[in-house]
Amino acid sequence: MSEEKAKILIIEDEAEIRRFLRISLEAHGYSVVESRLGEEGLALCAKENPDVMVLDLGLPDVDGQDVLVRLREWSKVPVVVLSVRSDEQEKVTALDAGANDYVTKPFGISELLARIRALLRGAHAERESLPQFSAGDITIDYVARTVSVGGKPIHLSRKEYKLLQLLSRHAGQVLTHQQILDHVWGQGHREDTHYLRVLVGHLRQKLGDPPSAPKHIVTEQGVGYRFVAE
Amino acid sequence: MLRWLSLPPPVIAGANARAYGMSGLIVVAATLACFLLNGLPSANLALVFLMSVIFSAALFGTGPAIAASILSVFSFNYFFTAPQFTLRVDSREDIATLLLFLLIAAVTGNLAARMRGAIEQTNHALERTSSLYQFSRAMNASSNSQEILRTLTKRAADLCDAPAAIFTRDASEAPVLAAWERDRPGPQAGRVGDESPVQTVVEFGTPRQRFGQLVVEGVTLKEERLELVAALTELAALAYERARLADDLEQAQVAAETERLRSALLSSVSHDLRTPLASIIGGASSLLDLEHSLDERARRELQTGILIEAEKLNRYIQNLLDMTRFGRGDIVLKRDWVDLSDVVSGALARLQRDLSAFRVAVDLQPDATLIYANGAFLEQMVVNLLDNAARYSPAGGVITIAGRRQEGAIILEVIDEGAGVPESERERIFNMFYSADKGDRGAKGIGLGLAICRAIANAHKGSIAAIPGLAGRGTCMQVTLPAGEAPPEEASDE
Repeated sequence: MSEEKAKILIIEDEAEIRRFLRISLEAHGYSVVESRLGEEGLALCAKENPDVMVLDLGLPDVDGQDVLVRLREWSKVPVVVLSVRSDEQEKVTALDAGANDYVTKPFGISELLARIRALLRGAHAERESLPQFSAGDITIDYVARTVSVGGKPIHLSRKEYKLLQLLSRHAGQVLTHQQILDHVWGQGHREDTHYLRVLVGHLRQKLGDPPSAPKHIVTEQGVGYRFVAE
Repeated sequence: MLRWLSLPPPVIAGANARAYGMSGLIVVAATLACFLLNGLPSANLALVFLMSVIFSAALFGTGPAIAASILSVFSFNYFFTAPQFTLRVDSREDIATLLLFLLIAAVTGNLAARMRGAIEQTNHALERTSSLYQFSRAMNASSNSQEILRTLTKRAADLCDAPAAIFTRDASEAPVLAAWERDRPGPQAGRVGDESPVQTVVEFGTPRQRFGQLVVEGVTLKEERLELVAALTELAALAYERARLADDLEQAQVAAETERLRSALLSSVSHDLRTPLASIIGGASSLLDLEHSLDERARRELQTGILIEAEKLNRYIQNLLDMTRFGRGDIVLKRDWVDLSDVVSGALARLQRDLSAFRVAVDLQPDATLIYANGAFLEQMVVNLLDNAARYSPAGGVITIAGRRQEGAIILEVIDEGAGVPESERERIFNMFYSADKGDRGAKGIGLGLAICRAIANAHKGSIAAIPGLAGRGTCMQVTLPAGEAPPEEASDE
């Protein structure tokens, strides 16, 4: 965490949820600004310049998706959207519209804190230039393009390495199928999720990540994948 | 003029020149015959003429018979009585013959004509009966009230050769056009009861109930045809009444079934929403009120309890949502390639706290992981199956999740070590709101979860069944899903 308190803007119409978020976030050392409405929230974002925005998709005045679109016209502030479980498509739409991550309502505070931490780290853009990365017993050397598990080097195919590199560079953050397909296979492979599933299966196997309880490459059903380092 | 049903046109006096012509021809034939028989006494020749009169009467009725009689007298007189080729009669015997002939011709002609009339009437009655019988059969075969109205209008229109329509009455007794003969222009609703001379109105109803009116446009019906149309209308009204009663009964049954489901839903909602809420409110209020007297362990226990129950509540609400989505029957699955191990790991993560009292074994064959399906729904299905298994398993029991591939299908099984499901119940447990409150731990659950599993399996064109578990113990919930056509393997990029 940085020296000064990171500032978090919460746009959410439910007073009880705002209260629980404010108490918990402040307890974790963040400063919190709140808004009940979308329009007001956008104005507040311009004025307060927060480090992370927490945006509810179901607002009374403006559709949360529209707030995202308008926000992205002028701001790169990382956004976590609050969504409801039954609609995966809504999450994907929000992610495509520029949201950086999501949590599904109802959620535990630890889940939201993990998302915010990951986004704050990413926002400082330090990891983008790190020569090395390690999580658990996995170590990645971006310079030499080598990966080792428990100190033993493993051999990855070109695509497996590309996938692992992408996921680990965004550790803690969700990446949609589309983002991954575009990055690893290039444009024009939008429907090739079958290959993606197979590739993830192979990568998990090589990393020793148990498929029925993966610790690192976690599936977000219907949305994408997330690399968990913590 | 009578012209109805499929009867050949009967002949009425003065109506048909052709009949008179035919009678004349018969007399001419009789005259020629008499020339051939010339030499016989004139009385015998008179018999030949008499025959022509009887034929005319039988074939064409009274009028032509009288005409034939008169013609016969003149012909007989002119050709066969002395002096021949004059209308004079000299012999008294011939005068007597002529007079007698006229008398006999009048009587027999009249008799023959009446016989003809009787036969004709019998034929009419037969045709009418058969027509009514056929119509009645058509009415009885139909259980659809609209169809009955259509059949009646069509028949009436055919009979009258005019547009026909049925007006029924709505709740406010206003006439409503209920059926009309399609091929003809329909009459206007406003014209019902109109005293227009070119309209025939027949009451459509039974002694118990009036339904409306049958209107035949543009003709005034003669009595006999009106009577037939009225008879048909009466038959149709009886059938219509019966069909309406059947409709009402069916509607009442559907309403009763809906009502039964609604009350089952309400009681299950109140039970399954209130039970976790009771724990949450109880736990939270204990934490608040007993803040100082609770030790760290007790506080933690209450807090965990609140979380577990809240998650249970969330799952139940998800199930209710899914049920309404599947219940509408118009759900279109958004499918994609899904890794079954992801589905299982997602479900296990969601049920982490609830499954902590059990041992969970996962056995997915490597060739049974990829499936073309809706991942979120599959995950919900596995959550429900695991939830169900946990509900009926003894504490510390093993819950096994197994997956294998078999002839283009993926078989997914969730096996528990509970009391098992008796054979008679194995199909019923997938019904909505079926409740098997025989679980080892006495948990009273509702059957919504399994009903959703079945709905999800069906939506994937698969199936689900409850079979005995390993070594006959417990229950194995077996889901069979089509795996989907896998694309060719990707070239290696090693």
